[in-house]
Parts: sequence; structure tokens; C-alpha cells
Amino acid sequence: MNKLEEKKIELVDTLMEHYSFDELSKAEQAIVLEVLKSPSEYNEMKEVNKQLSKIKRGERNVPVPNPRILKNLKEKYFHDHNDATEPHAKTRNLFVRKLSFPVYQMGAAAIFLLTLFFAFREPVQFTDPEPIIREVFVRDTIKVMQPNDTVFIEKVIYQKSGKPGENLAVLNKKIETTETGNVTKSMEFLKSVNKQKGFSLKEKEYLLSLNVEAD
Amino acid sequence: MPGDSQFLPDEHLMKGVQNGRQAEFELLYSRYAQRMLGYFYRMFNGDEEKAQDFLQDLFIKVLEKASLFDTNQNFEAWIFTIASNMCKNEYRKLNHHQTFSQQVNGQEGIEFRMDSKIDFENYQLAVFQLVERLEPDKKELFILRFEEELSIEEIANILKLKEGTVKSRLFYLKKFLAEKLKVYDPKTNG
Repeated sequence: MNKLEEKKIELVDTLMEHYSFDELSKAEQAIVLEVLKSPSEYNEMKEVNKQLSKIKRGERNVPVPNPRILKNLKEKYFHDHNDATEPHAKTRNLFVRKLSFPVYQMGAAAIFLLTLFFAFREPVQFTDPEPIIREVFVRDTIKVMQPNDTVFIEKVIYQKSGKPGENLAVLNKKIETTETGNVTKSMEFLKSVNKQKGFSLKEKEYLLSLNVEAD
Repeated sequence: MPGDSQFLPDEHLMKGVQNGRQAEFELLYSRYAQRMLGYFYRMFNGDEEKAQDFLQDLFIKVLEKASLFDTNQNFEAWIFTIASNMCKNEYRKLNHHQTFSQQVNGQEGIEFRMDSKIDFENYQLAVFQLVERLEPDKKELFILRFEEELSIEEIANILKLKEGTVKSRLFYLKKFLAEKLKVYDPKTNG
């Protein structure tokens, strides 16, 4: 049945609830006659509609439920009849009952699977096993050297020799390196200085810049 | 059991049943047992023993499938769906389909004059007798709509049909009944 027919039937059904055939408009009568054979059929159905709407639940004589049913259900599903005292007992009872059925099923399924396994598995062949070759890769520790930040190497720059009248000033290497490791500046200065001769003004200025007292 | 439990909606009581509470189950049982027995009794043409057995099986299903019930759904539609499926399975087993069609189609139309209460009672009795011999799906439709007074939407849910299909089927059911039980109303028929 298509949608249009369903709509027509719905309309006729609605009209039937309120109007007799004579009370319908010409257009409505035309639709009714597309669905039903005659105006009298419409009116008969209208009457049936009216009578059926009078039927109420319980009009027919039906027996009452057997009291054993509720008793059986309570015994089977609610172990404890006293609801107020032990509600957990009932919950547990329901839970156990729910569990019991799958346990049987699961047991049967396990036996079935085991039977299948033993019935269809490949026969075991007792031959010399081939040696197992296992490749082992040993990795040494790999250390990655990070480039240093600026490094200052300072050594003794002033030392008394112990000989009278002579001081030995040693200005050793001073090396500065950057993060990339490039040596940006290198200076080597080694000089023996005779106290009697003394430092030149330029040397004194240099030693002072290094916080070294020049005698 | 709390004093106001009797006013709780069915769906709320089902929450209690889901938690294994006996009081809520008893209340649901008291609301539906008579109705569902009536449904089975009519579906099985007055076979009381079978109706009682089916009533017990129905509530066993309600208890065992309680966890599957969505408490946002309509309990009435749910319990009728279970009952309807039970009847369908039983009819399938018995294969009564042909017998019913033959019985009803061979029946002559009876005319009733609706101008007294007795006539209405007789008419109603004739309707019920006719419905008993209908095919199971038509019978079920009649029971759900006119005796259980369920809405079109509820019936569509129970029978897994579209609402339009339910309306059409009801229309043709009424047409069929009108053919078999002619109502003579002097006011409309002149």
C-alpha cells in the first residue's frame, strides 16, 4: 500500500468518527468512494466504529491469575520473602541465578572446544629438532659529546723563583672556546723577568689587568 | 515498601526489579497480571490453562530480561511486545493460520439493531466470538486497540510496524467486522 492510499484511509477513518456520508462535502464523498464501495458501507463502518469504541477493557469475562504463579515466582527469584529485612539476599539470589545458566553453557562450550582441538589437531612428529639460531646484537654505549661552553684555562702566572733578586712571572696559555668548540682567542705568554731589570710599563699594565701585582 | 510506591510509574518500579527488589516486582505484577492473563486468554480463545502458563512464563521473562529493559522506554509496550512474541511463537508452532481464515470467511453476516442495552451486549458478544476466530495478527490488533485501548504509536512499537500500516490494518479490520456484523441504526440507515 502506498502513502497516498494510507492518507486516504486515514482521512476516511477520521471523517467516519464525526460525520455520516450525507454530511460530507462532495470532495470528501469522492475520496470515501475511492476507498469504500458505497455510502452504506461507509455508514455501516461508522456504526462499527461507534460500537467498538464502547468496548472497554475487562468487558470480557476472563479468569483471575492463579495465586500459585506469584508464589512460584517469589520462591524462584526472591529467596527471602521478608523484603524489609534483607534486600541483599534477594539481589544475591537473582545474581546467582543469572550466573548459573552461563556457567553451564560455558562449561559445555569448553568441553566442545577441547574435543574439537583433540579431534582435529595435527599429529605430533618426534624428530630431531633443528638447532635454533639466535642472532644477538650487542650495542655498546654510545656517548655523544656536547660542545663546551667558553672554557678558561688559567695557570700560575706569578711565581717567586727563590733566587735573590729574581722573580719569575709566567703567563701561561689562556684559551677561550665557544659552544661550537672553535678557538677564538689564544695567547701564550712566558717570560722570565729580572727583578732588577723590572717590568716595562706595558707589561705592568697587562699584569694589573690580570690583578697581578708586579714588583 | 515505601507507602507511595503504588503511585510510582512502571518504569520506576522496573528499576527496583533490576536491583532485585521483590516489593517493586509484586506491585508490577499486581498491575499487569490480570491484564496480561486476559490478553493470553483472548489470544488463545479461552484456553485458561494455557493462558495461566503463558502468564507465568511472561513474568519469568520480565524477571530474567529485567536488565535489558531501558527505564526510559514504556514498560507497557515492552511487556506487550514480549507477550505478543510469545503468542506469535505459539501460533507458529500450532500453525493455526489457515483454520482461522476458513472459519471466519465462511460465516454469514448477522444484523443487529442497536436500540437497547441488551442488543449492545449481544453485539459485543458476537464481536468477541468473531474476533476469536480471526487470524492471529488481526485478533491481536483488535485486542490491543479496542480491548487494551493502546495508542496507534504503542501498537506500532509492539508489532514492529509503521503507524500508517497499523491505521490501514485497523481500517480494514473494521471493514471486515462491518461486513460480518451489520449494525442497523434506524437514525443513520433511515
